[in-house]
Amino acid sequence: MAFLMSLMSQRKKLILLLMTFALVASACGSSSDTATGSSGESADDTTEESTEDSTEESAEITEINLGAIPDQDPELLARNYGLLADYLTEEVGVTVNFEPVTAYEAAVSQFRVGDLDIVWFGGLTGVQARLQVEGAEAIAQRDIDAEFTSVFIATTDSGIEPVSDVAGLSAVAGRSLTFGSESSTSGRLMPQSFLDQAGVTLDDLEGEAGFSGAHDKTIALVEAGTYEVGALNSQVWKSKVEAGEVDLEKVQLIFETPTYFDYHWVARPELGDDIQQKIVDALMNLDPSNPDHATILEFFGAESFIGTESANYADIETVGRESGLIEE
Amino acid sequence: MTTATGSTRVGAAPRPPARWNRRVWWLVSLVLVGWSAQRAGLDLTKIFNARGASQVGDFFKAMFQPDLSFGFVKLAAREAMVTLGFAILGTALSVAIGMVGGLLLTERVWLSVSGQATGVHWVWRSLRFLFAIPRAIHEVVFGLILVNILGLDPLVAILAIGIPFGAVTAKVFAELLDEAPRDAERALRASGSGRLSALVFGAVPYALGDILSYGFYRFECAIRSAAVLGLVGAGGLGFQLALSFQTLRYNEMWTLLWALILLSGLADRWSSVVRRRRSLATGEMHAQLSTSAPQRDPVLRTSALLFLAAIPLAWWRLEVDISSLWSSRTQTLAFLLADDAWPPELGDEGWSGLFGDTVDTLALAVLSLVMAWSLASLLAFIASRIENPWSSSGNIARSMVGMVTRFFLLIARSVPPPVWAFLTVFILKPGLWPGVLALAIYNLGVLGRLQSEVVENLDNEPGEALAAAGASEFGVAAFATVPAVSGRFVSLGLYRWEVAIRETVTVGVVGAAGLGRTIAGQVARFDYDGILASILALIAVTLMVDVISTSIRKLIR
Amino acid sequence: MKNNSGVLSFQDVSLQYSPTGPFALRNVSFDVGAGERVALVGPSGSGKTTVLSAANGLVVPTSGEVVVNGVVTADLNQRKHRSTRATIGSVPQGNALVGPLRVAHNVASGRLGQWGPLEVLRTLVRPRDTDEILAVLNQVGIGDKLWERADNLSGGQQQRVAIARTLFQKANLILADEPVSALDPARSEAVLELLVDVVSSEPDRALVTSMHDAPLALKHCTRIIGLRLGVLAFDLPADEVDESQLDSLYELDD
Repeated sequence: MAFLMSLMSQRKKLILLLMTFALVASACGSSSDTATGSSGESADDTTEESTEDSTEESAEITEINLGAIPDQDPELLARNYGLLADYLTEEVGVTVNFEPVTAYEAAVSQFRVGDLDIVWFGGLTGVQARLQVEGAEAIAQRDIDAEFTSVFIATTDSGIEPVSDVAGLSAVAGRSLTFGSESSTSGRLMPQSFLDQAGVTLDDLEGEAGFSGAHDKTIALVEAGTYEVGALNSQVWKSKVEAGEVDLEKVQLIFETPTYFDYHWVARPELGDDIQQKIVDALMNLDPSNPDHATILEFFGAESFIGTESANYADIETVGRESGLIEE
Repeated sequence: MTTATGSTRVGAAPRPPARWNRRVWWLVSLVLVGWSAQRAGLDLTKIFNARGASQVGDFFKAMFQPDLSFGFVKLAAREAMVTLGFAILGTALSVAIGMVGGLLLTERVWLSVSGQATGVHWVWRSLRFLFAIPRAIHEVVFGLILVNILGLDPLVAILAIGIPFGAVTAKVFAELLDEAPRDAERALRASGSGRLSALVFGAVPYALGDILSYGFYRFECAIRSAAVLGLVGAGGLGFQLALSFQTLRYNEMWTLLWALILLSGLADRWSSVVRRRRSLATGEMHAQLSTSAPQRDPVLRTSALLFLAAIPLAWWRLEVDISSLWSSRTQTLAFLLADDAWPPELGDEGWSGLFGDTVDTLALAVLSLVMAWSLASLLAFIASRIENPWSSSGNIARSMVGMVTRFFLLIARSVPPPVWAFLTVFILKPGLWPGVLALAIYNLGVLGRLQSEVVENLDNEPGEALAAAGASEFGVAAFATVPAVSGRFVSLGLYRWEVAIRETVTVGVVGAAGLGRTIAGQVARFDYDGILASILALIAVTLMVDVISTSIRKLIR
Repeated sequence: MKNNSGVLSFQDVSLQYSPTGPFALRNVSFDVGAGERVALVGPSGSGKTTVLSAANGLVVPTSGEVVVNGVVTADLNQRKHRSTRATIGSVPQGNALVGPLRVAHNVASGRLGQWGPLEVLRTLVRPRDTDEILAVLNQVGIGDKLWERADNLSGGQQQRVAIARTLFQKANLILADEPVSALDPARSEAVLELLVDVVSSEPDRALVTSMHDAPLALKHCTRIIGLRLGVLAFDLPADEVDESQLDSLYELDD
C-alpha cells in the first residue's frame, strides 16, 4: 500500500518536474509579467488552507516564522532567538517560531518564498530581500547598527602597518585579501566600498579576492597566512580578541572603517501594519534592567532596539548596485 | 619489419607492432595533464603555505575529541535520521525515474519486430538527449534552485538527489535491457503484444536483479549527496555541519562527521554485499548483464524488501508533503524563477569570462582526477579484501593494513568536499590547487573503493597458473593482477572524469576557481540569468567529456 | 636432491577442504614417471581437479604426501622451493592467459619463477628472449600471433599459448585440467595431439591431465587413472582399460 502510494506520488512529482523543466527551457519573454511578486507570494504558508484572499492578512495570521542570517554559533542562535521568539509570542499574541537557516542567500530566498515572515538581516541581505518582496519594509535595528564598522586585519609578517584613514587602505594593493561571505555587509560589501574609496579595486589585489564564507574563517585564514589581509565584522574581531582566541603575534588590526548602517529586521507585508507595529514596540520595550530581556540584548550585543526605515539603507543599495551585488 | 636488428638467425622474432591508438591517447592525456597543471600554476613558492599546517592539525586533533555532550549527540542522531531519510527517498525516486526512463531509452523498444528502426527513432534520440541534461548537473545545483522554489522542505533534497540519479539510473537500465536476450520479447511482439508490454514481460525479468542492485549503489552515493545538500541548506547532518562550520567548532563538526562516516560506511557495506553477487559490482562501470541466474537471490530480495519498508518510514519521519509541489506558491515561484533566469546572460566579462571559468573547471577536474586515480590504483590493492594463498608473510598484518586503508578511504569520501576544500586552503595558496587537492581526496575515497572492488572481483585463474609455475607474489602481481585490472581502472577513471567535472561545483564555494565559484557568486547576487548561463556551460563541458571518455574507453578497450 | 625415477608421486593422500567437510580425496596413491601421459577420468566431483590442485601445491593434503620431482608440495609456498615449482607447467581449463597482455608476454610469464623483480618488470615492458618465444610458438603452430593480444585469440589458440608457456618454462611435469572441455571435437583433437607431441619431445617430461571424455583419454594417453567419489577406482595402462570399468565410474548412486 504505502509503496504504491509513494509510487503514485513519484509519478506526480515527475509531472511537476517535467513542468518545471519545460518552464526553464521554454519560458521566453512572453511569460506573464502579470504574476507580480505581491499577488503571487501572498499565498502565505502560515495560512495553511486558503491561499486566495490575501488582502485580509492580519486577521489570518496564526503563526509567524522568524529567521536570522547565520552569522554566529548555531547553538547560541537557536537558544537566544528561541527566547526572543517566546517573548514576541507573548507580546504580539501570535505564535512566533524561530526557523534556523544555513546561508545568507537561503535567508533571502526563504523570505522571498514566504517561509520566513520576519528576518534579522545584514545590511546588504536586508536590502536584497526587501527589493525582492514588494511591500516589505525595514522595521527595526539595534542601537549599534546605526554606527557599524568593519575591520581590516593583516598578517604581522606582511609588513603592512596600521593605517589611520580610508586613503591609507591603498597599502593593501598588491596583497592577497579575503572577504567573508559573498553577501556579507560587514565582511564584504562595505570593506570593498572603502577599498574602492582608497583607489583599490579587486583587480589590484594579488590573485583573486577570496571568500572565506564566515568572519571566523577569515581570521583563521589570515592567521594561517593563506591570505595577507582579511576584512570582517569588527564585533566578531573584538570578541575573538577579548576571548584570547586570536594569535596577535601573527595577525594585527590595521584599520577600522568609518560607520555605516548594518543589521536590521525586515518584515513581509502580509504581517500587516498592526502586527509589525506590535513587533517593533515589543523589540523597543526590551529593557536591560529586566534579567530576561538582558539575556536577549546581550546576545544581540546591544543596549536596546530602535526603529528604522528602509530609507536608512539607500547607501548600501547604491554600493550594492555599483558592485553588482544588487541587480536591476 | 621482420628482421630484428643485427640478427641473422632464421626465425628471428619481429618487433612488436606499435599500438598507435594507445600512444596517441597517452600523449593526449599527458598534454592535457601538463596543460592543466600549467593553468593551475607550477611555481611551488606560490602553491604551498606551510604556516597553515597547524590549523589543519587543530582540525584533525578534534577528530579524537568530538563533542559528546548528550544534547549534541542527540542532535547528531536526529539529523543523521534526516539525512538517511533524504537518501532513502531520493534513491526511491531515482529508481522509479530510472525504471520508467530506462524503458523509454531502450533502443529495442523503438525497433520494429524485424529489428528495423521505425519512424519514431528520432523520439528516442531526443529522449536520450533530454535525459543527458540532468545527468550533467550536480545535485547541489538542483538543491540551490529548488531551495528557492520550495524553501525549507525535505522535497528539496529528495528531488535534488532523485532527478539527476534517476537520469543516470535510466541510462544504466536501458543499457541492461538492451543486452537482455531478445527471443522472449520477439515472441511476445510476434503474437501481437505492444512494444512496451513485450519489453516489460520479455526483457525486464532478465535485468531486474541487476537494476535493483545498481539501485543500492545509487543509495550509497545518495547518502553522500544528502550530506553535501545539507551544506547548501537542505537540512540533515550537512546542515548542522554548515552551522558548526561557520564558527569553526571543530569538536561539533567531528561529532557530525563521525555520524556521517558511520552512516556512509554502513550504506557502503550494505551496497557491497548486495552488489558483490552481481556483475554490476563496480557500480559505475558500463552496464553488463549478470550471467548468473538472475532471480531468487535471497540477499537481494531481503535487501530490496527492507528498503521498500524504509520508504514509508522515511516519508513519515520527514513529514513529506507533496502537495507543496503544486501549491500556487510553488507555481508562482517556479514562474518567477524561470522568468528571472531566462534568457541566460553572460557576466561582465562576457564570453571570455565564461570560457575561462569553463577551462578552469576542466583543469580542476583533470588534475584532481589524475591525482586521485594514481593513488587509488595503488591503495586499491592494499584495501581489497582478498585472502592471498601465496602470501608467505603474516596475513594478520596484511588485513590490519587493509582495514586501516579502507577506513582512510571511507573518511576521504564521507567528509564532504567543501570541508576538504576549507582545509586545503590552509596549506595551499588560493587558486586552483586547494580545489584540486580537495576534490582529489574525495575522489580518492570513491575511486579507491571502486577499484578495490575490481581487484576483489578479479578472476584469479591466470594468477594461479603463474604462481603454480613458481612466480613470486611480485611476479603474479606484475604479470597477472595489474594487467588484468588496469583496463578496468582506466575505464573507471575515465568514467569518473565526467563525475569530477560535476563535482567541481562543490568546491567552488570556497574560492577554488571555475564555474563553481562563479555560480556561488551569482547565487549571492541572485543573478539567475547568470546562473543559467553557467549551468549551460557546465552541461556543455560535461557532455563533451562524456563523449570523449566514452570514445576513449571504446578505443583502448 | 631429485628422485629421478618419479616426476609426481601421491602417497596415501587424503584431503578435506574444511576440517569437518567430506573427503575430496581418500587414500590416493600413485606414481608418475618420466615419459608417461596419465589421464584422470571420472564424473564431476570425483576428485580429478583436487588431484591436480594438490600436485600444483594449490591445496595441501590433510594427510599423506604429494611429491613433485623429489620435493613435497606442502612446502612449495616457501621461497626456496620456487625452483621446484618452476618445473610444473599448468594448462588450465580456460581463462589461463592474462587477456590484456600480448601472446609474447604470456609465454614469457612461464619463467617468472626464475627471475628477480627487475627482470620481471623489464620483461613486462618487452620480453628479452623473443626469438625463443617465437620458436615455441612455432612449435605449437601459432608463430604469427606473437604480438596479438591474448584475449583476441580463439579458445583453441589460447590453449596453444598455454602449452607454449610450459614449453618456454621448460617444465617437466605438465598438469592440464580439462584442457579441451571448452573446444569443439576437431580442435580438441588438435590440442591433445599437440600436448602429446610436446610431452614426447623430451624424455624427462610427463603429462597428467583430467578429462571427462573417456574415448579421448584412451586415444591420447598411455595410462588411465579412474576416480570415483575421491577414491582411486583403477590405475591401468590405456590399452588394458575396458568399457565396463569406465561405466562403473559413471554409475549413479541409488
